[in-house]
Amino acid sequence: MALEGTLQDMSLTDLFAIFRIGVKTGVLLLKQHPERAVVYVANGSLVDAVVFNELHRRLIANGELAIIHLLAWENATFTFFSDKSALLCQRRIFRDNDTLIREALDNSSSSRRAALERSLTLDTRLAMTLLPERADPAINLDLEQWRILSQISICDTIQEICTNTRKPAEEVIPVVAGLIKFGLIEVKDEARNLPFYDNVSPYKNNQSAPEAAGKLLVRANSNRIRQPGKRLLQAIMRRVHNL
Amino acid sequence: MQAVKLVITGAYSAGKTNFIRSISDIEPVLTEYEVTDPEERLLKKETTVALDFGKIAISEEVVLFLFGTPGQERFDFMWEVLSEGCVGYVVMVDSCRPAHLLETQRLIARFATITDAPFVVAANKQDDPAALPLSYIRRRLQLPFEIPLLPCVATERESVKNVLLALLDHIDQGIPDSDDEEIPPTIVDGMFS
Repeated sequence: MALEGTLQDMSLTDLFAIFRIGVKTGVLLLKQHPERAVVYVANGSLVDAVVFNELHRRLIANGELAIIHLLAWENATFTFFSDKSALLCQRRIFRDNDTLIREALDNSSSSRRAALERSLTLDTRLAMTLLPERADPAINLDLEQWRILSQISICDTIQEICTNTRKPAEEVIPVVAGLIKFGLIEVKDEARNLPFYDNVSPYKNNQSAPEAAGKLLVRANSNRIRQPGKRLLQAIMRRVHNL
Repeated sequence: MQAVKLVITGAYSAGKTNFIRSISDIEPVLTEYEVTDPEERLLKKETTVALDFGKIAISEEVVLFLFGTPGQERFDFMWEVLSEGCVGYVVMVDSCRPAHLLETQRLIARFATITDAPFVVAANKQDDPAALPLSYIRRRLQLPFEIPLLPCVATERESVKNVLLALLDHIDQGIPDSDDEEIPPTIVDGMFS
């Protein structure tokens, strides 16, 4: 018997939280072709992990680096089974789960930011965001950022900003990427929901069903259907109790 | 004869048949057929396509009937028929298959549109050391605290008894004290005699 599923059903951060809450001991196997991984869990904490490429029979990462690598997986299948032998495993993970998750999220943000920068060209058209609430109210912009931001209303493209400010694209593009990240500007006429805006929540698949839940509560307490009388119900309970 | 009807529902392969088998006075009437879908076959080889049916004699006059619904959503047209006149139901969820949680959430929402009867959720396979904890299951199902969520091992009679008692207690709490008169519930005279 084992806990089985995919990371679409249950994210790795959720799994790690479950291990900690349930003080689980065992082995977690993950597979996202062509890579495979093994994570050893002892008394709720991660003690060791290894990721390898099955095709090339090559080690990709182990210990904490393996966990950070795994946290980027989204489509893997997993199996967790209880196994006391994990208690004997030599510890190669020393930081707690939350620290590793934060680091993985930072890495993910950095790579997304790099991807965003790569996608920006001199012809990219920019605009102030239509949804200012997206912007973080606690942002502190430096002089360069203010300078570029002030150009958005009068310049259509990054090329025009470079011309106006007499700065090379290599300097302007990272600043533009930063302003996009803050939610102050956006790329015009392109998909608005850039990857950067994704809410990087550690809890996935929490599809809300508040309406259904609310209805359930009302319905569960309602008494519109014909109920058995209390005495009959208690007789049934006594009988079931004595089974 | 007076019949009190409870429905045992849940996603595919959640343990409904085992639940009824563990508590029923009679060998349950099962309508299981060979699974044809290759993905579903990985979970189990036979499945309930119509209903499972078990009973518990309360007295000479009163019988508690347990109806298990087919798990696959393609048979959900049966749920409405089976839920007719039920006084409460158990929603079963497999604690070792996170994929069940979303499906169960949908099922709970669907059942809420079919019947107003009170229900409890039974988290099956809680004897497995790898099982998801109840707190996580409650969060993923977005289940209000007023709805009981119980650990369950569908193959163990005591565990099934506890779930049924919790459901009966939950039903009891919904009956106003003034309504203490013996009103026969879902009476299906002669239907199962």
